[in-house]
Amino acid sequence: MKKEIIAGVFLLVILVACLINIYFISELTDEMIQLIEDAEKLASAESWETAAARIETALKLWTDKDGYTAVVLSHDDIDEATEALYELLSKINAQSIDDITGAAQIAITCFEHIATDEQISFSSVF
Amino acid sequence: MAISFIRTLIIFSAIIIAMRLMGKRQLGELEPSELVVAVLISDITSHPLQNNNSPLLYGLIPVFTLLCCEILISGATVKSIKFREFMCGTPSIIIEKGKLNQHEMKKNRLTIDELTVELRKKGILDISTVRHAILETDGSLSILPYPSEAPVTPRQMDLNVDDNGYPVILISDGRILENNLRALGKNLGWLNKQLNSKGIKHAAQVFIMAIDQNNNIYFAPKENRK
Repeated sequence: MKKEIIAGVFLLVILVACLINIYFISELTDEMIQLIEDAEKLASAESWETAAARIETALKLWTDKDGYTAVVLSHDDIDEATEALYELLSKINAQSIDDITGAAQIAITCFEHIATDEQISFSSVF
Repeated sequence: MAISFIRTLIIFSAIIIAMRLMGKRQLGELEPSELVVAVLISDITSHPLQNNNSPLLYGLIPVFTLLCCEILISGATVKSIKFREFMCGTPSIIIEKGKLNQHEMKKNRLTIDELTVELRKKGILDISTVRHAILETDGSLSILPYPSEAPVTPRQMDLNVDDNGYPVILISDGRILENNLRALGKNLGWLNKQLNSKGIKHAAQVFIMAIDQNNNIYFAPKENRK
């Protein structure tokens, strides 16, 4: 019986850890999307330095969490999101208004994809 | 390369731990739930081993989840007969008093060829000599012939048979198994004496040496091949 109780508790621990991970990833991606949207608005207002600072903050936040995200997320998804952020930063630094919207949308899509992949839903399960 | 190596070590350890915790039956006769776990574990763990872009946790979480599920299912099957029947099924009587139960054969998708193969493996050629043939929950076929068709036992013949007990290996591929030697109350001196009597100077020259409870020694020296 002791073995079964340990197995049940361990199963519960795995489940709780998965749920905490969903919450944590969702919070992180929301924060990233918010920073990208802010940067896009600032760039539209031609506030280039502040927009670049927002993306640098986003990059720092994203890379600082690398130890965690590398354990729980697909490495391809992490690389894709990082590349999208650098691409957006380069467009902001180049002050290329036409390209910024597209690059920002790609970066947002990357983070939305990461968030939805972690969510428990019919489409993600099946 | 280094990452693949470390991943392989971790996944290998996880599977070994999981298999050991599942018990010996996992390696031999499997119940359906055990078979599913064994097949799934090998498949799930191969993915993070082959793909370095996939986190190791994607392999470890399923392994430990399956392990916990298997332990819980095994515990429940021990406690509840109904649950055991649900998980493992019930044995099916395929032959009863020499008559084939075709309904059970159809239900279990057992062909007459498969049945005759199993009967031949047990040395039975005539179905009418079988009192009961039972298809067990692990897929094996238990065959019980009529008493008149069963092999005669020494007890039926009123014979006294020597019980030599379980033979214990003392030397395996040139290595002396000192624990077995001590368990029999023997020592290295006794072993060397036995070897000398067979013209052997050192245990390294022996392939296998075993002894039963009546001190009968089975001995095979190593072959000298070039």
